[in-house]
Amino acid sequence: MTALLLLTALAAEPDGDQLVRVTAEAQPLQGAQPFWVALRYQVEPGWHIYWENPGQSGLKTDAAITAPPGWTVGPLVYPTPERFDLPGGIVNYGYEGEVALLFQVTPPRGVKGRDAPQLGIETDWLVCREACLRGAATLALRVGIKRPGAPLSEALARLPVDLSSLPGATQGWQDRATWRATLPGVTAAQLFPSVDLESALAGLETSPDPRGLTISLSLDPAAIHPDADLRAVIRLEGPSVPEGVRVALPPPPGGSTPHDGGP
Amino acid sequence: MNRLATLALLALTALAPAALAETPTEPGAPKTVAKVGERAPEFKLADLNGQEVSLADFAGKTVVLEWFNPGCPFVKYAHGDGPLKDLGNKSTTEGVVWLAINSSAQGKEGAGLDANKAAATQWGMSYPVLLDESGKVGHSYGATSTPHMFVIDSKGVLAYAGALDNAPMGKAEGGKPQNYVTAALADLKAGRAVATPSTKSYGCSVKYAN
Repeated sequence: MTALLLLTALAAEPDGDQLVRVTAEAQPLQGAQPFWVALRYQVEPGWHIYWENPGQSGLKTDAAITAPPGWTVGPLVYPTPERFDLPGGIVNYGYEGEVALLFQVTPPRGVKGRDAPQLGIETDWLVCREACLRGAATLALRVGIKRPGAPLSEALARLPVDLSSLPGATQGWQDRATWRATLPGVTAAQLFPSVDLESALAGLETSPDPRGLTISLSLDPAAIHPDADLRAVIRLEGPSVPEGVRVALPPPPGGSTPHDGGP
Repeated sequence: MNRLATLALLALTALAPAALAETPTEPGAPKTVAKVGERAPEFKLADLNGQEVSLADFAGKTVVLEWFNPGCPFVKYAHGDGPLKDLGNKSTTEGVVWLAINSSAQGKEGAGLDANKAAATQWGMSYPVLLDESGKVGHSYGATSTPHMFVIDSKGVLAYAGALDNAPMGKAEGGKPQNYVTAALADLKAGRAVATPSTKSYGCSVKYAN
């Protein structure tokens, strides 16, 4: 009876901390070699958390990592996201079910076993279904040498790979407002633009190509800041293609137009 | 599968990004969405006392539109202890027209007179909360999140669209905290062009009808 009451109370007042469970796992420490750490988010069915660009609403899932002096921590990397279509034509980018965000840690040179560090992890998220709730967790992860670590191969395999690793793929600017990529062996593609790319995006076209698919982005050169971060992940479908590829667009030829578009 | 069907599938799966999402077509709904630098879309909506308020009532004044949903944690934070605790009330005393617009559809989070009246009282909002249950006004502005902010200059031109600030839930993203609405209002007051005319908004999705 108590359990039932408790469940009812939880159902009535869901909590953003309880809708998502976070655990951390590290690859084993091998000398000064960089190793990966995975933050696994288990999201309650029906709810979703967000990619680095959350889309038209939402908030990116984020984590701040603290490591001892001498240990360097790389940026948080996100696996290929999914698209969620909300009422009113609102589009969100994120994850449901279980997802692992990863970051790489580089030990200092000459690291010894007894130096195995403790990493402090503070992560926060917005979890949404119809409504949205904030959640956060603080974790401490001791990275050891002798303790067998998880290889994290599954989590790493879900990261988008560089487009250039797709055999036969081409990419580049056609002119200062059009960027195009050909994706051999791909039957369908879905674009997930970075915030800066999204704000400059004026059109998107995909067309079948004898070898797969061509994706063309029309960009508004005036909306591209000189230091714009023009990246995207493209989710792929096809008989033997990776789940997603990542692209980083160099500045458009001729540069951006400084007279229109602010800093 | 024949070629046509394959093409159709491609067209369906190669979905347009968020920035290109079209406004759902309702009878009478505008086909294009408000753009910074262009005339702000007209609207007429009832406030919580049933009084009709329209944008045309405020010709010659600077108008701020705040997309609102009292059930959204970002709105709760902003009005509770965050940046909207005083900003709207303070701005209205300085001659700015500040309007909260709630596009939650009937039965959705934050919809209905009672919830909005309670929130307006609790947060001491001295300015109108307008209900847009059909979502028509929300779509005409391209409002996607709460809070999503719009600043209209005294000529009726949209001067700013985007986030309230760079600090969702008070957590500034790199660098120092910046309130984009305060900055836009200061620019307009000084007769300058708005330095940051558009940013990416954050928050809960606007709870439009299914």
